Amino acid sequence: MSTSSLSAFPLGLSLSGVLSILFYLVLFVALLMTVIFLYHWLRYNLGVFRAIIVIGIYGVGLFFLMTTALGFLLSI
Amino acid sequence: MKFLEAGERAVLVVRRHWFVFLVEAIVIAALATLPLIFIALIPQSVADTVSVSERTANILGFLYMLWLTILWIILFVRWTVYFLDVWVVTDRRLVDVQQKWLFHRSVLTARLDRIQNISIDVEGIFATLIGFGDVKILTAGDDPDIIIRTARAPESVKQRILELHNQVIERNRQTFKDGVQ
Repeated sequence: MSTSSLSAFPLGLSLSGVLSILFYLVLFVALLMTVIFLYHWLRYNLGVFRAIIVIGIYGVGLFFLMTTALGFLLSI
Repeated sequence: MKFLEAGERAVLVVRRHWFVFLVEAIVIAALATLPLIFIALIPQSVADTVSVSERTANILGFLYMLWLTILWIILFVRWTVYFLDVWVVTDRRLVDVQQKWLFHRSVLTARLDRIQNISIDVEGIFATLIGFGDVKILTAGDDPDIIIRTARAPESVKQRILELHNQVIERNRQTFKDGVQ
């Protein structure tokens, strides 16, 4: 019996593979949302300084969360 | 501000009260702590029988971080929508910029001289104590009625709009008089 038929996930993916895909999906959404936020905060003339503060806080938080998630993922 | 006409001046900018966003932030914070509460609620007798390996702990930690990331994004979506939802009173018009979602924005305008009545509606314990409420502006003719929702200090907003309304009426009257003479 092949390894793929033993897998509980589609396409014979391992648990690490599924979690990696999940990570890349969230990373993609996070980067997409960063662009969308930048677009909104810079488009409506709310002030560049204010936009930098908001996007900065968002970016720092996102970086912390994603690196922590990556740390867990690499430890699996 | 892009929607202002040439020579038009923004006099008053009204946003929803910060309490509205605070409630949303509290809900998101509660959702963030939900998995931890769930783990804390597991009885000790059950917890003793389950041995959690390091790998399982890492998987749970990973999933929890992804959950926090999604909530973090939602928090900033809500903050952006809250911040872009704004009412601007100019020396000529009242502009209602409704940011319903990130890509759903509508702009209503009503001329100040078309205002017929302004009423305020403060409902609830928090609204009364903290001081926010709806300001309903009824206009004549084809101009749309505008509701400034959960505005901070609605009474002073109402007074300011009425002052500007009277100024516009007086200015129009003066212009008419000058035209007749």
